[in-house]
Amino acid sequence: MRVINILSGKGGTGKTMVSSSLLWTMSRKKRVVGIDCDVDAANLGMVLGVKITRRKEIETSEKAFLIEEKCTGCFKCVDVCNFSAIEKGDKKPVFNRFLCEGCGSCELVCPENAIEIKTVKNAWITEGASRYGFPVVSGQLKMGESGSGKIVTEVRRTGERVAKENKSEIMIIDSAAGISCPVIASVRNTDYVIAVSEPTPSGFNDLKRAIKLVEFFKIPCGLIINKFDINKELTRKIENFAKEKGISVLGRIPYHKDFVDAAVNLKPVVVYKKKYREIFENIAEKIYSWFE
Amino acid sequence: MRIAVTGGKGGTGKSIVSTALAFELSKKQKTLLMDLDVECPNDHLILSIKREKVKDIFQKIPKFDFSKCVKCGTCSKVCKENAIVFIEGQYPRFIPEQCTGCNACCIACPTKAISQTEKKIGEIYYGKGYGMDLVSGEMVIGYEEAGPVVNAVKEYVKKTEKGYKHIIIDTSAGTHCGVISALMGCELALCVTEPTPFGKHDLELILDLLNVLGIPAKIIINRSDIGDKKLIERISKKYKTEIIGEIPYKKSILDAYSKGVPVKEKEIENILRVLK
Amino acid sequence: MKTAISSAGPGIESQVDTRFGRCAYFVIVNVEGNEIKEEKSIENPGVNMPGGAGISAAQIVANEKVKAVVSGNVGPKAFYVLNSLGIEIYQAVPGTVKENAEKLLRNELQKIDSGSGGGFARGRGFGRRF
Repeated sequence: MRVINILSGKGGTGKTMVSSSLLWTMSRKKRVVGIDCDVDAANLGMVLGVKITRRKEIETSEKAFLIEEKCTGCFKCVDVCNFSAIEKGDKKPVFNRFLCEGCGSCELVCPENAIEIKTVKNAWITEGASRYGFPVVSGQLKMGESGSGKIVTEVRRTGERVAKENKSEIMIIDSAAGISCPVIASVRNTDYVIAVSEPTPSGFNDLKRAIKLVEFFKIPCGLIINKFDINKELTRKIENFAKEKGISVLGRIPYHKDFVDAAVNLKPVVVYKKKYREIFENIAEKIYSWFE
Repeated sequence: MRIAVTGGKGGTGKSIVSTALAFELSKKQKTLLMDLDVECPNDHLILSIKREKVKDIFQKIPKFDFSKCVKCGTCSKVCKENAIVFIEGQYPRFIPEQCTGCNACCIACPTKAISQTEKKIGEIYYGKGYGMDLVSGEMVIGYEEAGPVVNAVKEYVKKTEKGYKHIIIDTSAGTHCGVISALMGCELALCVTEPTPFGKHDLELILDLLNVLGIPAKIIINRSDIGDKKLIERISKKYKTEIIGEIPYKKSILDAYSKGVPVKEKEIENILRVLK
Repeated sequence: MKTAISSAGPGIESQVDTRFGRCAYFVIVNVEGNEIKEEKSIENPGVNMPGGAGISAAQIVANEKVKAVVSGNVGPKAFYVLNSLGIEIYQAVPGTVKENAEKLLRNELQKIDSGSGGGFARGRGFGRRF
């Protein structure tokens, strides 16, 4: 099985549009599985009409909890916390569960053993079948919880089990925006990265940062330029940059209201309008030949 | 006033709204624009403002004094990030890239053989343009935690407090630790969304988060004429959160954005009027 | 020479697992003269670690006092750790643990000089586990 990761650095460039359309296109010829690793705000299942068959609450995060009766208010924990997650309350420390990383330093330093590090249920993982036949696994962080990196790892593990059951040949991972831990966790150990960019100064800047991350992990990479016709000159500059980096340009997607309409109708654009199928078929062919 | 511009979904136009808002506000009062999208800061590009680095951001990491080390392996045991490798009979090996600076190893070492030093995790930049000050934070590539970098930028601004009347904070997309750290301390959050199912879905997530954080919110619909506005109106009713502005899709906005000049549109002025 | 081989299952008849940090098992064998002696199989606790799995794996095999590792993809951090311990790293080929151990015996496995990032074997046709 080959694992492809879709990322972009900048949000809103069209990762989910590309993931969903590529999944649909490839599913005509191969056995595929879709994984939504944008655990802060998982959208892939929506556009693929996924009927959830399995739902699991998981705990990947640990947090510090105060055992009030044992606490003497020495506040040693406040001083030691590197993440500003503990504040001095009236008589006892106040723990901010949003900032707490569960590192355990407070537990170690507390002279009264009044702090306990416990695992918390911080996310959902769902499995289901898309309306086009292939399976989709998604993760969604519970509101206000942290630890997206670890959740992505769990989502991928579930995805690998589903892929094995399904005898999938290709796995496509829709990543989060940005380049911090949830993206890093989805990029690690994949075979190929597809970077999706747009010809705007932010799009180009964020692409460069995302490419540095890909180089850091030494993963081969291809580029898709979305909304390429809003600034053809910048598109050319981005393609030149890609060539210098040894990144192949897989395709260019035009800017059109169809893409928004497809999203509003919760369908991959290639299902909503047949005329975009050719672009994605070409992209798929380029990827297949790379894998050979 | 300290206002965050956020939204959950990427690409809805947070940066366009923050920069345009800061531009309008700075005409009359001293305004700071804080770009806390530390993974991919963009505001300096949208406004074509030249930035200069003013500070490196460091995070504490352990320093081992092997003359005191008894090779007990306790440091490796308490390290939850696999940053310390311990092989029996050998001194521990430290892997700085894994370290998140929690200090557990220093605390746990029975012979006090571990002290603290630092590693770089990001940079703070400062620039001036269009009448406003801009401070942006940028995370080192490959580093995982956005939260500490955001907090360092906030600390820096607090320390170099220049008497700003307004601070506009541009957050990153999503609802993760970097966003939470950026939102904390804000008096108001403007949630920029788009009238699509994705926009609606992510808007709900961010409104839930803001509810828990106790920060009042308002909604701005960007590209309001493309898609289905009713999706957002329903959320507005459900969360009893007012929609204070709608920005239609306009080629002039796209042009300004791709050229790196601030967006001057009457819709932004309208939003400001409502805010006042 | 005591060697650790990343494996999909316990025992030398199991298929080799391409990934070092997140493989299911480490099979420890002693490759000496003309013999391959199976010593033990260790279940890998790092299988679902988000990061640092490679480091944890390096630590585990190093504590077994191995002199070599046979695997598909050893990440840069794990590579650094193994290297600093003087443990040699060899490129596994598709097949069982036993087959790889035999190839190692006959000096037919390629030594790896730097840590890789992803699972792509660049045309050597190294498929995934399933």
